[in-house]
Amino acid sequence: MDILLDNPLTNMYGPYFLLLYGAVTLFTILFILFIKTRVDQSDRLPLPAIPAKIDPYEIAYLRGGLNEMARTAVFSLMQKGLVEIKSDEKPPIITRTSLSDWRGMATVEDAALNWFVVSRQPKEVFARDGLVEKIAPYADEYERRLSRQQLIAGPEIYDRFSKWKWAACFFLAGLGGYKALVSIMYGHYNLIGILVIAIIGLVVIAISGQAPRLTRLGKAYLERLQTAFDGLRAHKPENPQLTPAAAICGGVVLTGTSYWGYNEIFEKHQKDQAALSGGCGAGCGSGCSSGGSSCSSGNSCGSSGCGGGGGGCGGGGCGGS
Amino acid sequence: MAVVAAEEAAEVPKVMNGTAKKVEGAGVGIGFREPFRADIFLNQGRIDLLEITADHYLDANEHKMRELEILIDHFPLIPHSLELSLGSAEGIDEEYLEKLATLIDRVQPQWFSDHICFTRSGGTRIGHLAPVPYTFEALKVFARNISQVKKKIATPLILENITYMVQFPSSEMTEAEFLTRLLEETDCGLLLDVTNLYINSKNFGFDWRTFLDSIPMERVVQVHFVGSHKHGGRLIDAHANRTEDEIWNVLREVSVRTNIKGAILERDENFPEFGEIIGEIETAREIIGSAGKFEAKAA
Repeated sequence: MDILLDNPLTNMYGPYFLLLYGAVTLFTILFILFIKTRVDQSDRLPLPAIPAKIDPYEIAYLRGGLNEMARTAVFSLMQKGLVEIKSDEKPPIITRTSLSDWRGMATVEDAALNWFVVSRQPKEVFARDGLVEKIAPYADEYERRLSRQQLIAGPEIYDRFSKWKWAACFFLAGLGGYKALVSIMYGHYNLIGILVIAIIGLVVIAISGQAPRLTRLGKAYLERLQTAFDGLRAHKPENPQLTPAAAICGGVVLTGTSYWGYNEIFEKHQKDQAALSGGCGAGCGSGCSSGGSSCSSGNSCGSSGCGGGGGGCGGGGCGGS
Repeated sequence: MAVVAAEEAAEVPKVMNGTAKKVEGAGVGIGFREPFRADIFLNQGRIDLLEITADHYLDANEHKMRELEILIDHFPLIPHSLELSLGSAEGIDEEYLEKLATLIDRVQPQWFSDHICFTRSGGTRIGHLAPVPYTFEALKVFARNISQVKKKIATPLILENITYMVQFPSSEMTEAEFLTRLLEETDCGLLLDVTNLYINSKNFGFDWRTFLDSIPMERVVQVHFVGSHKHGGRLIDAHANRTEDEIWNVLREVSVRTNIKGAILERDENFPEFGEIIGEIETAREIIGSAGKFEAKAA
């Protein structure tokens, strides 16, 4: 028992302990960041081939989860002339048109069209009971498949990383708590330094310790798709290839087309949402999946070139060639 | 674009291993140009091979190199260089050759090609495929330069016939004789541009069939085809038009006479809808396939 109360750590002069604790906290954070790079070993796998037949909803889900799937569905319906955006309304509304011929639609689009039985505001697409919830069941198969291909992080990656994260948190909290407890026993009540370092350490681990949704393989694959299909942006507005283009590269491909209004209202909504929530930034519009686990494509946005608020694809990935 | 539902999509897609693909038997494809990129991937099953302009990847930025890696993973590639300048009396640009060798080492093609011409003189690139006079001296220059290339690059080099606007009075033999001697002395294959042959035959009034009679057809490895373009009363190879019937006839005749390993549509300007490009590829495949010397892969 004596050794617990009387050892170099408990006897350490307060400011020296704070220095040591700060250093240990920093080391622990770096260790977790290192582990983060090690748990995802998907880049050892060969890249999937670029398919000749593209399912835009699968690519959209890969790129930005349910939010991007919903956006793609709305755009596809717009392009088919089944819904329209009334931008002159305040706020803008998305409403069904009188067109009733919707043969050959994907099941996701059927569900989306049914959801537009009444006029909707763009923000409702992402709200509780919104379109993202409506189409969520259709994403299950994508989630399973992409996870199996290790293009998105599956439960095993999250679990593996979670264990390390919790261990790091317990270690930091335990070390600080132990020193604090012993200090109180010795009548020292000035614990503010320990508390501050511990809180900062735990918060940093909690934030930086989010396992990215998109794996390295997923990012590399998405970059390949964006490189390969960059040219689709040049297609005419009525060309059905524009929907997959938007799914792959984001709404930015619609700039300069008659669908610019679509991109604009979703971009505005995304910025508003980001400002309110302080969560996923407006910079990676596709990032805030309804699951809320992470800014999903945030990681890909940085490197693959998804820019702009609309979940766009700026320079690197879909950039000018 | 074919949009497929989730359940129709392949359960486990093909994976890429970064190794070069080979043309199996023979193939019909297109000269890769950036505006075609997306459409090429969307029509993978209908394009057997791609010809890449080697010069675009010699000092390429990251984006172009990424593009090259993707192309290597999905298609058999044939590099086609523009600036070897095999007819330059001053010899081969070593730096260019070094870069080309590096590219070919990366792509691992079954063959690569350049033109029977010179593009550099006095150390200056002239930006044009310039014809040489058909002389014994020119033959020596080609032989020396090609020997230098072969020492550096083991992959077979094939040579392409070009168009010309003038015939040199100093020529000591016909184009067909020059071509025959050149191919035999250097042991190179021929990239027979049927459009160039047709254009030259029209501009200078000779029979392309007689020309084909005079050259070693067994050395034809690959063909180029595209429509010709009329300009100021002459035909030029602008690579800007749909292949016309007369040129299909040349291709048909060539197909009957020899085993072609690859046929490439060369389109550089006035790009049509990609459906038209695919249509031309299908026509070429049909023509070559019907000659019975070609196992059309994607027919």
